[in-house]
Amino acid sequence: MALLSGVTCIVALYVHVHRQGRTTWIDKGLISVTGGLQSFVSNFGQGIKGLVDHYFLLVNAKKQNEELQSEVGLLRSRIIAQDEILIENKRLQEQLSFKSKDKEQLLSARVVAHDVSPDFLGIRIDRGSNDGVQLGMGVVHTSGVVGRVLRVTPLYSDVQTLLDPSSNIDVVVQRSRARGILSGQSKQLSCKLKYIDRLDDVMVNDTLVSSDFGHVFPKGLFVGTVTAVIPNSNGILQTVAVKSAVDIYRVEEVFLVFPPKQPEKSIN
Amino acid sequence: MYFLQSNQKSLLTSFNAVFLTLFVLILILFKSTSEGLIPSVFTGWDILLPVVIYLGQRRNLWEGLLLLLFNGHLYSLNSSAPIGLFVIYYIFFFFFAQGVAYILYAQTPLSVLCLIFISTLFSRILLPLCAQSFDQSVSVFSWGNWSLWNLALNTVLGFFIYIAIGMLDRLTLKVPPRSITLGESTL
Repeated sequence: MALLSGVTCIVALYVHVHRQGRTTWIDKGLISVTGGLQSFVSNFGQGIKGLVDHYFLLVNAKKQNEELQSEVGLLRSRIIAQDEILIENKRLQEQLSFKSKDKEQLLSARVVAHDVSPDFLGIRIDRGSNDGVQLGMGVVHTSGVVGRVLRVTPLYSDVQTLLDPSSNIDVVVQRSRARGILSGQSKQLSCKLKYIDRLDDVMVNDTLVSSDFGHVFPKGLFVGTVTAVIPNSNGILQTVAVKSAVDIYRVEEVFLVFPPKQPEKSIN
Repeated sequence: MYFLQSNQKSLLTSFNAVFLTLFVLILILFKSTSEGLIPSVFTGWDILLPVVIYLGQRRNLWEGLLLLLFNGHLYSLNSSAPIGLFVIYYIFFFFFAQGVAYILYAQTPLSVLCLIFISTLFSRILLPLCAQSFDQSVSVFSWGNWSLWNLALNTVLGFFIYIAIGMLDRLTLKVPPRSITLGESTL
């Protein structure tokens, strides 16, 4: 009985010290050591993978190159058209005297390790509080939203990806503007859209984009695609399955989103 | 190790805990850095479960608990789960393995396989329950949680990890307490 009480007290104290993602100097030291080793091993592994990819797996490179060349031409013409729209948009905004919003700043980071547990899906990046990283900051990839910063140490940060079961991200269905919370389901490597009303217009292949709630992610960033909609005949909500835009296991580089600077309050 | 003097042997044995922690660190490094390089179907295995089962079976209470707390904490720091969740989860397994040791003392390959398989099945229920107490929504009833592939992968890899720690113990001349008891009772 005394043993059980002792163990319970130690564990309770341990959990209390680490509540809400707090880290002690021991944790920071351990993370720095493991992070450094992970960075070294990851570099080594990626180097070997790169070598294999570059020298042994380039069988269809010529064919792919031709296809990509034609795609580049198509995309270039689209970019020019988009630039036209941007210029027109800017001109119209100036005419309507809209205030220009500050853009979010991005900081690139390299993924040095993945989550050691199969039930949670986090990643470790090589940027920490020394680079200005703060808890809760958004993390994105060129393909879309990755997750949020969960734990920060001076050299490394841990990111909770959107596939993690405890991750909740505010999203919008691009077509119908229906709003919901995207939650991860690590075991299935997919997500679930929560709090979507039965009457909300959501269809398979709909695109989900980030909302600007809390200024964590840039507005309108690709989050995922709806793969299944299961209407609930009894309840008021419907079940929506979503495939994430980013393949977490293949991500090597990510970007940290620094929130736009708030204008200083003027003293009257 | 026959060439070692008795004081060198005892020194080697006293370093067993350090070697075991290094072994866990190597497993953590391998698991966390290999995920992007190998197919994702091979990533769903728990590296610490067989270690904890081994500690429960082959270590006395305090030594096992101390090793579990340190290695469990190291594991927690390399996961996005709340710190403390895995320590509590593995403490349950440690006591489970200590209790099971009175009925099934896993020494043969078959008994080790059975023990790891039963523990893997038990873990599929226990982790979601522990996660609930940390406000984490890991579902017990999702199909991914009961995937036969993951259960088999955990059992087979767990078996090899268990055997590897046994070899480490033999190399460092570590004698488990229950072996002493069993030896004395048979005399």
